[in-house]
Amino acid sequence: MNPHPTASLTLCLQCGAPTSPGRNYCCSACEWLASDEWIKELPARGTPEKWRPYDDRQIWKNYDQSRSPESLKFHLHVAGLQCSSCVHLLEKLPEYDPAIREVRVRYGESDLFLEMNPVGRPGWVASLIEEMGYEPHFLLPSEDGAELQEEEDRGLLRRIAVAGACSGNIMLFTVPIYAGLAGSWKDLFNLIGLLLFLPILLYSAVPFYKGAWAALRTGRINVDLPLTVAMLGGFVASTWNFLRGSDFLYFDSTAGFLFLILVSRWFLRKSHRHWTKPEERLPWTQEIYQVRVSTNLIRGKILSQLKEDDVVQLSRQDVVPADGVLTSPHAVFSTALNSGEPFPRTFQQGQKILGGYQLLSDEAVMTLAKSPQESEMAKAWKMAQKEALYKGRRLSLFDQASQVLLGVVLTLGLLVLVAAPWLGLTWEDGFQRALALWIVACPCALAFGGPLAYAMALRKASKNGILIKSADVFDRLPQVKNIAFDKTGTLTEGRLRLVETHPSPLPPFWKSLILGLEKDSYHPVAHAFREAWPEHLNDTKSVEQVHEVMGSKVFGIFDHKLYSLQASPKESDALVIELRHDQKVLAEMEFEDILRPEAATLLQDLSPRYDLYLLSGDKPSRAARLGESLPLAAKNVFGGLSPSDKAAFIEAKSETLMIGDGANDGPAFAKAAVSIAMSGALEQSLRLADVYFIRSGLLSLKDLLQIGASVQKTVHRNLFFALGYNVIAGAFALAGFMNPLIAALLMPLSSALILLSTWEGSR
Amino acid sequence: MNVILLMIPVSLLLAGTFLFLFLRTLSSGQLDDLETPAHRILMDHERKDQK
Repeated sequence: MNPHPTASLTLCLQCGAPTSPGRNYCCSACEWLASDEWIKELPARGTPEKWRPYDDRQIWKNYDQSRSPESLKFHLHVAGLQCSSCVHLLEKLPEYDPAIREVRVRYGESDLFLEMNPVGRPGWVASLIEEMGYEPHFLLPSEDGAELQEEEDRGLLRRIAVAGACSGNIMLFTVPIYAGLAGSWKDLFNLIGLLLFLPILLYSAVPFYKGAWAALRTGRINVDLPLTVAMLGGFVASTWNFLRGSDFLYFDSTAGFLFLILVSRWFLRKSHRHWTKPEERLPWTQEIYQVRVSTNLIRGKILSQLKEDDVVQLSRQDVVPADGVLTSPHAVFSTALNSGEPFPRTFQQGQKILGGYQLLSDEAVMTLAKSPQESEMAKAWKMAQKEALYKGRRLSLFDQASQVLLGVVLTLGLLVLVAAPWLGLTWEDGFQRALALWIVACPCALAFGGPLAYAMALRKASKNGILIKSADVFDRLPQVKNIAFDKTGTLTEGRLRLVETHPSPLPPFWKSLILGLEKDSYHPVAHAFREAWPEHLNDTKSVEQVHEVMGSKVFGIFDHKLYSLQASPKESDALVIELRHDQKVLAEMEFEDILRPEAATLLQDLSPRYDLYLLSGDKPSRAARLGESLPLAAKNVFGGLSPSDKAAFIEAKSETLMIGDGANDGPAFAKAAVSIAMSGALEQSLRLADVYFIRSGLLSLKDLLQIGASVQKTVHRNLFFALGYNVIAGAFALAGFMNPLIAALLMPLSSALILLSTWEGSR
Repeated sequence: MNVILLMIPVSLLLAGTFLFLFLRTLSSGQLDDLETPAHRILMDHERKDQK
């Protein structure tokens, strides 16, 4: 069961971690470390504009967590950590700047703790981190939660430590008794066992009591309930038997299973700690906005400080923080995030604009009508998050099985107790047998067999660059019958590439001229030109009076002649751009969104087992053309779908796995049995989807399906063992054959079997 | 059998000591992050200009 399809993966030349196809290094840190020219000196420059606000005390004081004037402490989330080189490079930062006291990276959580002198400039440090190839992100103390989580983690570890120490020693004192110790020594050893059990009963097991109590109050059954019953039952029965000199003591086995359950909970907790509560942050917004305080005073404010009636000054590429009204004459916005509409729209003064629009023209001024948290987008996002979270809280197969088992065991025990005289037993005998059943047949193997298998699978997945929100994804994966792919950014790489020119090759002069025209443009076509002709970037012609009509054309004057770039009016499936001079077409350039290299093979592999669909928001003709180049049935290819069309499609087909990217697949994600967000997507799709691929490319899908299949096998095997054990042990107990020796053998044996099976299944 | 009267407290003391030590490492924060130290130890790149 090797989830690494090594044949199609390349490995980083520096550290050996898998890289995305076609790349030599896994991250820029490795590239730097390998190339010998990694930062010898810090760049002698100021803070770039993007990060400059963070150098301002008014801003950074919001993020400072030190609460003391001697030093500044910041907690950053740093996306893009790949390997040891990243940790190494980032933690070396203090060697370069005396103002940085310490950098501590926490690899597993992608967190970075930065401590600086009070004179330091946090914005500048963040810009350095960004230059190294990561995406730094300052966390506000309120949204941090790290300290709280740390305290909870430590608390659970303390309980595990106490449980481990005590149960281990109980074991040591019980073995001589099984070996035949008798008389007063036996009583002494049993007494020590009882005393050692008390810390577990009164301290380690407390979370289970709380969980069980909470469940009882809300009228539900959860796994904590049987555990509490087993704990208390085991203690009461054993103590009673000890006092009356009977042999039926369960201190060792009860303590041991509690320890194992705590350990498996710990693993589970470690694997999906990030996803337990909805996030307040609105990930599409930026954090700092320029707010006009008075006629000629503009100050930076962080998002949470913005409120109704604030006058916000936006510059190009800024994202509108909240719903409001445009107060400058006119401006061009991309509304892609809100509506999925790919083309820019022009807005006039006084028109309503929504939070989430991105400014494409140079500048705009707006007055907020709502606070960021109350904007339409924010509300929709919170709803979707809640829905996604709710979906993640379904009972797993294991929880259901334990509930049924618990019900059966409790009822059977009660029956034996009540019906003892009719079964020809004394009351005491009946009570003894019921107790034996309750303790020996408690669903302990169930209680940790499932969580442990899931936790191991989650760990394995995250090692392979797959983040999974909650373990019940593994319950839903086997039911998947259909897989729906988004087109742009999922099957394709999501950016335009120049594929053909006419004439071919283009004269160098025209290339330089085109690059000159597109010099300041943010349009995807402009990026594609720059990518296609890197050798001409240094000799771009200085075109004058360049004017970009957003979304339709660019024109400018060079050498007294007017040149323009615009989309070809000819009907075509591909995007064709023409270079014109005086209405005469000089050159045609064709662009395409390139298919991912691994897409065709992957779909070929999947097609025997799943029905594959392509759902695209793009033109139907383009979707169809892409579909033809893939092993997809033409009737399964759909173009021109809006986000809600996609959602409706997914809802109509049950058991569908949706794999997409970007915000507009959010509604479809909510309806899918399993939803996967590809890398490069906004953080919010990760909040909405069940699974997130860190590595770019589709190969992770194959890994995920493999891991899913293997965990399913392990879980079924564990379930089989656990049920088998319980039936046999339960029968023994009811029949009255349960003597301490058999109980002592059976309980650890069943646990060992489950551990072994889980370990084998997750190698 | 009298030696057991000595062994029992000794064994319990030993167990208690280890538990105490573990709880100390826990509250000093050594166990808060188990992953990064493993990465830290792998690299010994020196700054090129510091010889």
